Amino acid sequence: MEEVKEFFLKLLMNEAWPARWFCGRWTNFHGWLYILSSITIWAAYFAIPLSFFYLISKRKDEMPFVKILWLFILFILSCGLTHFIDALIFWYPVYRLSAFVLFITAIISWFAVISLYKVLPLALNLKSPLQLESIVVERTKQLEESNNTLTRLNEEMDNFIYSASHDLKSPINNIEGLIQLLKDELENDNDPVIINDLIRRIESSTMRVKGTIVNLTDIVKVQTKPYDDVKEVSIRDLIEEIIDENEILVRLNAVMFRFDLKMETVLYSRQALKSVLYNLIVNAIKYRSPFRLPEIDIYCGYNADNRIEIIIQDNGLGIDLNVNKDRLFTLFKRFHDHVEGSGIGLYMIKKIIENKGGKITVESTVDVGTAFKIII
Amino acid sequence: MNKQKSILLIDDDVTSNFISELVIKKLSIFNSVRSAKNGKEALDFILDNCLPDYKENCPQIIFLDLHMPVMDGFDFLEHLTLQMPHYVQAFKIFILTSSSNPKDMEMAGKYKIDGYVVKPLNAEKVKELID
Repeated sequence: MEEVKEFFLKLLMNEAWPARWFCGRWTNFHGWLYILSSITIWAAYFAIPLSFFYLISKRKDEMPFVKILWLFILFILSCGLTHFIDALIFWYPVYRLSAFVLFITAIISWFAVISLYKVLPLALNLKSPLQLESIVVERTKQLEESNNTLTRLNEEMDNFIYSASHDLKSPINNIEGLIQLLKDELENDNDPVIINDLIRRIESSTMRVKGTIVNLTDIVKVQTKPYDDVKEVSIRDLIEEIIDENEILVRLNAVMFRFDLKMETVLYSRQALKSVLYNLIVNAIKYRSPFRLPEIDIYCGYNADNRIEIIIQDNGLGIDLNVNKDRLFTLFKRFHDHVEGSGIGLYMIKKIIENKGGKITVESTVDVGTAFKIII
Repeated sequence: MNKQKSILLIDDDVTSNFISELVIKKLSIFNSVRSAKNGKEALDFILDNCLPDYKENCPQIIFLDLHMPVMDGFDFLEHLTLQMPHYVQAFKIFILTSSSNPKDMEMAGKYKIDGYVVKPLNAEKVKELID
């Protein structure tokens, strides 16, 4: 205890030792090499924390690990101080102070070591500017993609609204026109034949409005239906079920079906696949060629990109794709007017397939036939 | 008013054609009124009746719907403008439509159009257009 007390009381005193210059045999060169090197190290150890300090004060909010940086500043400063005292001892042999500063430096350096080990895992996870840059590029790309999708969906929505309003307006305008004519007829000629004809037409236009509303409801159902009955669906069974449900249509037209199934089943919503194939098969028969019996080829297998594709090929009227390609899958658009149709089938099919991440494309030659290719 | 003019209605909506025909016939100021159910039928009719000279049935006024199967109004205008530019200049073409989709208006605006009429056609609208 006495020693400790004495140590601290005489901390700055140099009475017990000779100055280093006079302790042993120093040459001038040896001594000054020691002194100047120590002073230079101290200067450097002073300058380094200064630049750290400048860095922290300039980028206060964005610097990671500020606490540990402060610890490093202290550590380097105290290391510098030991070198300074080492040089000072050549004239003032303050060996007690020297030991004390070494002790402080030892403590600070171990604090630094421990904190460094603590933050090491965190520091390992820090992203480099290059990594951050590539993340930004990737995110920007994702944003652009979703922006494009939104723009496309918006356009589709616009088209949907125009098409739907057009198809609702047409029969309503007709009803308006027919009522004007009916009023005129009742006021003037009052011909019962014409009056009956006008009333009959008003009735059928009213039915058309109702039909369009039913179609629109169906479309909304398609968009919102989850189609979550995903399971292994046998293509052959499904087509046979569709044939059964359209027995009269199939028999009247003596349709021939041919299967080329590289795979018999696909993993898909049964309901969704049925809606799609149902529409395509009924279309293939409805738009048959008047000059030959309908033949429908059903193919299922992997395509070049290793995705499953189903192809429904017919030998019917065909569609002039040069003129109609962009409009083929749009709502209420019809390409033949000799049979009844609502113009919603292909639109619904496309929606179902695309909602499930697939794609539908068409190839067609007028008077040869049409092939719809579904990639699921 | 002269009674020499013939009218051609081009629309796949038979009820709309019926209404327009009846309205025009009741006015009894036109020579004849016919209807075609798509652009192709109309184009064939015009080619038959207006070439090389304008024959009796050559329509001098056309009421054209824009959305039809087989050949729509835009394709009809395109073909007519290319094949019979003199006809397009000489006679009147009105768009008779049930909707006023600005995209449609813009697309039709590329051609020589004499006016837009919103359905249903009635006597007042016809008189206004012809005067």
